[in-house]
Amino acid sequence: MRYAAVQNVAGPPSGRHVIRFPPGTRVDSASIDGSTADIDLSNDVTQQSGTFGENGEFKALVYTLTAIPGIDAVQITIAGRRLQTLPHGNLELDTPLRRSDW
Amino acid sequence: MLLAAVILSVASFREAKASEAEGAPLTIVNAQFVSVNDPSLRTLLRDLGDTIAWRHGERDVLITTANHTVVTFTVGDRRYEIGPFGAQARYAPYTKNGIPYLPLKELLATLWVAPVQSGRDLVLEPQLASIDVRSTTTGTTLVARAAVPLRPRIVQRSSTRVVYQFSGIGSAVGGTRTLNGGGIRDFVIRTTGTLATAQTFLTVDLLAGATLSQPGSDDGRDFALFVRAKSVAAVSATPQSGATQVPREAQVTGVDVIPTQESFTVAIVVSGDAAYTWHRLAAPDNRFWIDVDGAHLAVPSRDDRWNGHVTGVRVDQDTPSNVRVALSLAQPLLITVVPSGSGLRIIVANDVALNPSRSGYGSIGSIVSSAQESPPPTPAPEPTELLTPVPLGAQQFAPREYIPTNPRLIVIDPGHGGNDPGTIYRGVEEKTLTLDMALRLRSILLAHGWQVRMTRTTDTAVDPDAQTDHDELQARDDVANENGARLFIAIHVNAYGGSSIPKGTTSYYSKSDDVPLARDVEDAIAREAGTQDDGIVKSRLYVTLHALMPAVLVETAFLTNQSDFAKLESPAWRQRIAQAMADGIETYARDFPAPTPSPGG
Repeated sequence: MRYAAVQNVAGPPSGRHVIRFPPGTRVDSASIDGSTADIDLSNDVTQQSGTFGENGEFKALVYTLTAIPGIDAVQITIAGRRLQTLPHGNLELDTPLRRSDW
Repeated sequence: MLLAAVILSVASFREAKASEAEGAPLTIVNAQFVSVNDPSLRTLLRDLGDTIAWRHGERDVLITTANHTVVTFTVGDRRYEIGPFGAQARYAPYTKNGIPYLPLKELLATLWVAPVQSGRDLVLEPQLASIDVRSTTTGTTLVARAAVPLRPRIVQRSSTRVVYQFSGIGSAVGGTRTLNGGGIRDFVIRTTGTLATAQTFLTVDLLAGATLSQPGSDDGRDFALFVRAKSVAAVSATPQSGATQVPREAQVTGVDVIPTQESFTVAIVVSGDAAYTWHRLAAPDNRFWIDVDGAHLAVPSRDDRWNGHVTGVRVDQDTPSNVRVALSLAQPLLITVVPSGSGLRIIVANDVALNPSRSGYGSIGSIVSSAQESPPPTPAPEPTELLTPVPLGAQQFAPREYIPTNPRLIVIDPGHGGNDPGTIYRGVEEKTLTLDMALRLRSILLAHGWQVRMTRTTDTAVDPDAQTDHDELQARDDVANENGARLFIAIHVNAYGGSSIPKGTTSYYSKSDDVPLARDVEDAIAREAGTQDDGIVKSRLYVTLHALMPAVLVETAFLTNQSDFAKLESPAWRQRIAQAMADGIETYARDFPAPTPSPGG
């Protein structure tokens, strides 16, 4: 699960036109609590510039991790803190994200 | 129609260089039309502090006057807009070699400038555009307006007379007006001098014991004079002599006052055709009045007092050919004048207006204004007994339906603001664009009879005390939730740091109730605004999720894409997308009437 999260946040090789997390974003911790993956992202993720990226990044991460059997939700924390919304963004993060959010 | 070419010169604007200006740069124009690229027009606008915006290939020409009124002309359309108000020109603007030509007379009228024939030249002269008088037993307020700073100078002063001189302007109003009340016996306006050195004088003859004060104005383009009468004399309003009144085409046959919690509406019922003008005074006076020209008051005049934001409504035959409806306001509230099938409606919202326009005009009857094009939204139908009773069980488990307490209220949320600029790209800030588009949308919706609340009307946070981003977003939803709004629309500008390729419009939603609204708004934008249609996208965005009512967050276009950037920078395009959003909202409102409370609960 940690591998999937890290690969997803890192994205495919450069040169491909895909939606990426802001440069420098790291997965600082990844663990599983029941059926929820707890993912802690570095503060770089707050360097957002628009709903397009924000929506696409988190959707991709949630779809990737919930494709793993036994995981149906993803709780995001940023620099160790659970936030109600993504700083500088519009996404709500205070409860686990699910595929049904998209 | 072929018209003789005349010469347009700009005189008397530059007092310091009056003699030079007299023979100044001349441009050949058509007497009926002027090109948007005409150098004299450009000079004129610059001197007035007005700006003109037009992009090659676009139909709309936008002029923003120094007092923040947006005047919109559209190629091929006789209708034009002055702020949220519609009017109709004699001729539609047209294009020649791709350059729009605007109807000169109407353009100049909106700019408060008069073309004056001088030999073979047509010289533009700034005008004292209006003088308004409100006289009561205790005193008189006299307000003059012009498109240029008036800089009054007192040239004569005694206990019974004061004479003001306004240099460099002519006057569209003139003559003597006798009041014999409110501290003023009469006043005279006259203009002298040559075109380049025009002087307009206002002579006020005071009644014994009257005192006067001259408060400052916002920008010097208003001149106000308050005269206080010596004592409260019993000067009752003279009733109109009905016997000598010549019957006129237009009659005001009723004035209904409809106060509600959300707004205060004055419906003026007019039979026949009439033009109207309205004016308002700056705070703290706040008075608003509308003159229905060429109309006769067929019902008794009245002078009502109200408790609340609107403190008084007065209706009278101000002159033999002019019915005046005047409102006294406790605050500088947002006021919308909407021509309706039966006349006019003045809608006073509970919102304080930001930089309100000071005057405007339009017409009723055979001259159709753009505001009449879309009928005002029909009120939600009353619940009837024909409703099918819902089994109790189904009612309990069905998702709770949102019922707006104010089915005519739309909340507009301009994204970001204050310390949060949103995306910044090439020096352009998202918060500025979102506010601009939101204000344009507000104007359109108000003109169509909707009530509108903005989460912010200036460059500020909605909740300046917010501790977190969450608090700020919740404050935006609170505006809609606490006012029982019909729907919520957030306006944003998209961006993507990783690539300049993404472009287009996306309408984001979060709840199933949001889908039809998002669909209608997205479709209208795709149809009318020329952006790539990126469709509607579900996401867990805070503001759409926590708005109790149908909500949509419109990402209008990408700042980070070159062609979208050009659109976002164009005031004409921003007007277009505002119009598209309004159209989408109205399509939705028509197809999905607001739910009403069920009989049981």
